Amino acid sequence: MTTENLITIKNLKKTHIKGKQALNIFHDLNMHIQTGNFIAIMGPSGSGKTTMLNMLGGIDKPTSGEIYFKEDRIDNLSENELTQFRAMHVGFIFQFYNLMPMLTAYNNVELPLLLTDLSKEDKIKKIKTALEIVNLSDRESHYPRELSGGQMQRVAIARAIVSNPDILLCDEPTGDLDRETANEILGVLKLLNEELNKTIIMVTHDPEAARYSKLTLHLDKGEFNQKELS
Amino acid sequence: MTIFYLVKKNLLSHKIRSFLLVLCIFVAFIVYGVLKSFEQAMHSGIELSGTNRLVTVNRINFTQPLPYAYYNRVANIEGIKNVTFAKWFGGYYQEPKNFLTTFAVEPSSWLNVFKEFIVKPEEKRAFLKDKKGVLVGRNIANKHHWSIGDNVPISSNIYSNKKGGHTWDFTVRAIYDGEKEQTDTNQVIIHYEYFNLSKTFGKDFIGWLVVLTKDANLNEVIAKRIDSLFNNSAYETRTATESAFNKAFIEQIGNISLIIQSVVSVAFLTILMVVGNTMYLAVGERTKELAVLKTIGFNNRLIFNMIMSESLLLTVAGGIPAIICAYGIINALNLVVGGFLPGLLMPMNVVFTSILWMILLSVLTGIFPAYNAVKLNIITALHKNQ
Amino acid sequence: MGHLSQQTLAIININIRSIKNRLGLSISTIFSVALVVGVLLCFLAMSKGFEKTLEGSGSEDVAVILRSGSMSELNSVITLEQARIIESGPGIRQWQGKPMISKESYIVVDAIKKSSNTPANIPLRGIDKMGEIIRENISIVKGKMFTPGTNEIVVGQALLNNFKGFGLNSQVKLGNATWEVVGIFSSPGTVFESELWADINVVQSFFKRSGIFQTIRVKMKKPADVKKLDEYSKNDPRLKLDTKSEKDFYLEQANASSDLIFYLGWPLSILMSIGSLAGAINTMYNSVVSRTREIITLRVIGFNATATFFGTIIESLFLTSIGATIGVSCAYLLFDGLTTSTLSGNFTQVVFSFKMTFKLFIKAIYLSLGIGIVGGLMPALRAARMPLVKINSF
Ligand SMILES: Nc1ncnc2c1ncn2[C@@H]1O[C@H](COP(=O)(O)OP(=O)(O)OP(=O)(O)O)[C@@H](O)[C@H]1O
Ligand SMILES: [Mg+2]
Repeated sequence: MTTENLITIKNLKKTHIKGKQALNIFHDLNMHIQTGNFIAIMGPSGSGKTTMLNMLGGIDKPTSGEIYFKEDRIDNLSENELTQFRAMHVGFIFQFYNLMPMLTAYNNVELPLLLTDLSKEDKIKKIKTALEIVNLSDRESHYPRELSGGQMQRVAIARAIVSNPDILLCDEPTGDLDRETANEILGVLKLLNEELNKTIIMVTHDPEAARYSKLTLHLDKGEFNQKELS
Repeated sequence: MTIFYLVKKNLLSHKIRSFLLVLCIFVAFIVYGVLKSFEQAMHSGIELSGTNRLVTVNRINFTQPLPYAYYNRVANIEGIKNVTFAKWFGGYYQEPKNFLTTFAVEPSSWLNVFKEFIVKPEEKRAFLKDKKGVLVGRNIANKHHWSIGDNVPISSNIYSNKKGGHTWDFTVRAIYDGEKEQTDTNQVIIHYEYFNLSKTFGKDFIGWLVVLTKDANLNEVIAKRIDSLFNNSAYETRTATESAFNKAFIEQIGNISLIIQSVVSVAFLTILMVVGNTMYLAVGERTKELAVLKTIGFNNRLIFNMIMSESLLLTVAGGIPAIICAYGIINALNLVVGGFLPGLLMPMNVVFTSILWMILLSVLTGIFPAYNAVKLNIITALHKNQ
Repeated sequence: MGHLSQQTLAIININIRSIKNRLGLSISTIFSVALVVGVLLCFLAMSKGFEKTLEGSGSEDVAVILRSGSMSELNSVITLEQARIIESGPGIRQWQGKPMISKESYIVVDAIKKSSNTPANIPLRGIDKMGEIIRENISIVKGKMFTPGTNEIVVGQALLNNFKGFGLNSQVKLGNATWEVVGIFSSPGTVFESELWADINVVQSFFKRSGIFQTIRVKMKKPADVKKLDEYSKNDPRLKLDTKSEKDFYLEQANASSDLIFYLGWPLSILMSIGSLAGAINTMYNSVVSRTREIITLRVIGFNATATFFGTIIESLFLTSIGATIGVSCAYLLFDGLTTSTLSGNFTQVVFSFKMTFKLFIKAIYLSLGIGIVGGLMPALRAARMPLVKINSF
C-alpha cells in the first residue's frame, strides 16, 4: 500500500458568517490524508464534519489556508475548475441517497458518465461493473421508488464509483438505515477500500460504523483527535 | 442516455403538468396561425396587386359610374401600356345567397391587364368569340360543378334585362386558373357588350378603369394625367394604385390587423405567464436534484442548457402540432369562406414567424429558471430537507 | 369535528392563506382568466353594439320597399310610377291629409375615415319633408335643416365624429357640384347618424337620377299593416317590390355582420380559455401538492375528504373570480362606448359603439366559473384521495 498523501491541508481556517455572527469552525487546521485510507469522522452535531467534507470535495471553500489534492492546490480553483475536479476525482454519497426519481437505477449510475466521452460499450461495461460491485445487477431497471433504502444507497455508491474517482466522500451514509442494512453498505465500502484501493472519508454518528474504517478521527472544537478503537 | 434523455425524463416525470403546458402553448399557436393567415388573406389583395396597375374610379365613390367614352380617352394617354374597364354586375346564381363576383368587361383587354388569369388558348378564343360566353374561375367552376359548354343562368341584383327579368343566360366558354396559389379564382367574367345591349338602364356607363402603366415609376404621373383629363367634367375621377385601392377597401371593414394583433398578444401573454411561472416553480422543486448533478460534476453550461432545452421542448411540442392543425383549419375554412376571402392559405412566413415566436417564448420562459439553477448554491440546496 | 361546512371553511381558510406561497402561479392564473374574459367581452360588446345600432334604427310600423331581389338600398331601383301605385296602398297613415310616404334616393359617396385616413363609403340620402317626419327621433343639434331645392346638406353626428370633411359650414365637392353643410343632426343609436341628407330633387338632378328612387318608406297605421301593404304590392304585376318592416330590414343586416363577430368571438374565447384552464389546473395541482402534508394531517385528525375536495374547488373559484372581476372591469373601462365603424350590409359605413350589458357580464362570469370548476376538479379529487399512510413518511 502506498502512503503518498492524497490530501494535504495547511493552516485551514473556516468561518461561517450568519448575519452579524461569525462562527469559527476551524482555526488553524493542518493534516494529511493518505491514499488508500478509510477514515471515519465522528463528532458532535454542528462540529463541522459536513463542512469539512464539502471543502474536501470542492463544493465549499476555506476562509483561508490551503487544500492540496495530490500536488495541486484546489482551494483557489474557479467554480468551473472545481466542477471539473469533482467530475474527475470525487465521488459523493449522501445520507438521503439523492437519486433522480425519474431515472432507473441504471440511468442514475450512468449520470456521471454523461460528462465523459467514453464509447457506448465502455460506458455499459463501467455501469455493469459498478452495479456488480454493489451487488445490484438484478435491479438495474428499477426506479428509486421501487427500491429499499439500502438498495437506494447501493445505487448511490455505484453512481459515486462509476467514474473511478480517487476519493469517496460519504456523509452519514448509513444514517437512514437499520443495523443490518447499514452493515451491508459498510461492507461494500470496506470492500471498495480494500479491493479497489479507494480512499474513503466517511462521516458517521455510529461507533459500529466507525469500526469498519482503518482510522477514526474525532472532530471537536476544530481539531481532529485520533480516537482509540475499543 | 444523453442530456436530452434527462430533459425528456424531467418533463415526463410530471406528465399532467407538462401536458397542460403543451396544451396551453398549442392553443396559443393555433390562435396565432389561424388569425395570422386570416390577416394575410385579408391583405392578399394588396400584396397581389400589380405593381404597375392603376384603378380609376368616379371621384364621388367607386360605386358611381363613369362614361364608356373614358375607356378610349384614357387609352390615348402617354405612358400607358394597356387599359381595360369593368362594371359590377351584382351577380348571383339561382339564389341571392349564392353571390358571384361578376364583372362585365371588355374581355381581350381585361385578359391583357390581368395576366395572373391563366386561360388555355383554345378556351380563350372560344370565350372571346362568344358574346354570351362566360369566363369563370376554377374555384367557382368546381363549387357549382360547371364545365366548358354548360349553359348557366346568372342573375343580377341590380340590373334587369329587356325580357323584364334579372337573369341572363350564359355559356361557360373558359375556365381560368390563378398564376399564384392566392390568386382569386372566384370571379365570373362576362362580355360588357352583351350586358350593355340587354340591360334596361345605365347603358354606356362603366364602373371603373384599370390601367397598366409602362413602368411603375410612372404610376404617380399617369394617375395625375388621368385625373386632370377629366377635371371639372361631370364625371371627375380619382386614380390610385391597385394596392392603395384594395387597402382602402379593407380599411372600410375595420382595423382587422389591430384586432388580430391584440388577440394574438393576449394569447402569447397568457402562455408567457402560465408557462413561465410553472417552469420557475418546476425548477424550484428540483433544487436538490440540480445540486446533486452539480456535485457530480455537471457544469453550469450543461445545467443551463438542460433547463433551456426543457422549455424549448415544451414550446416545440405545443407549437409545431399547433401550426400543423392551424394549416388544417385554414384549409377547411378555405372551402367554406373561400368565396368571400380568396387567398386564405397558410403562408410560409406565418410558419417562419411561428417558429421565431416559439424560440423567443422558450427563451423567455426558460431563462429565469435556468439562471436560478446556475446560481444555485450546492451546500444550501443539499441541506434542504426533501 | 364540526359540520362539513365548518370543515370546508377551515380548509378554505388554510388554502387561501397559503396562496402567497405560490403567488406567481396564482397571479398568472388570475391574469389569464382576466385576459380571456376581456377578449370575450370585447367581441361580444362589439357584436352587441353593432346589433343595437341597426336594431335601434328600424321602426315596426314603417315599411321599407325595395326592388325585389336587390337586398340593399344601394342596388334598388324604383320608378316614379311604381311609387305612385304604392301611394294608394292600404293601411298608410296620413299626415295633414297626405299619405306618409318618403321616396328616397340613396347614393354612396366617399369620406375619409379618420382612423385610417382612407376613403370609405358614406350614404348620401335624398329625402323630402316626409322623410324627416317619418323618422321620429331626429333632431338638429347644430345649424339648421337643409332648405328644399338648394344644395345644402345636413350630416349625422356619428359620421361627423368619425370622418373628415363634413364639418358645419364646410363646402363639399361631389362631382362637379358643391354642397354646403348647414346642419348636424342626431338620432342616437341609429344608422341614420352615419348618413348625409339632402333634398331629394336636388340629389336626383345632380346624380342624373330623375324619376328614380332607391327606396320608399311608408308609415303604416299599425305594424300589422306592413303585411297588408306587402300583399297589395305582390298582387300588382307592375310592382315587383319587396316590402318589409324597417325593423326587419335592419335586423337582417345586423344579423349577418354581428353573427360574424359573434361566431369569431366565442370560438376564440373558448380556445383561449383552454390556455387559461391549463394554467388554473396547474396552479391547483401545485396548491394541492404543496399542501400534501397539511391535507393528510387534517384528514388523519378527522377532517372529511369532501371538505378537502370543496376546499380546493373553492380556492380555484376564488382565483378565477378575481380574474373575472379584473377582466370585466377592464373591459368595461376600455371598451364600453368605444366607437368604430364598419361596412354594413348596405355597403356603407355604419358607426357604432361597443356596448357592455349586464347580460354580457353574466356570460363572461359563467365562462370564468367554468374555468374555475373544471380547473379545480382534478386537483380537488387528488386532494380528497390522498393516501393517509403517507403521514408516516414525513
Ligand atoms: N451555510 C452556512 N452558514 C452559516 N452557518 C453554517 C452554514 N453551514 C453550516 N453552518 C454552521 O456550521 C456548523 C457546522 O455545520 P456542519 O453542517 O458542518 O455540522 P456537522 O458536524 O455536519 O453536524 P451534523 O452532525 O449535525 O450533521 C454548524 O453550527 C452550522 O450551524
Ligand atoms: Mg452534517
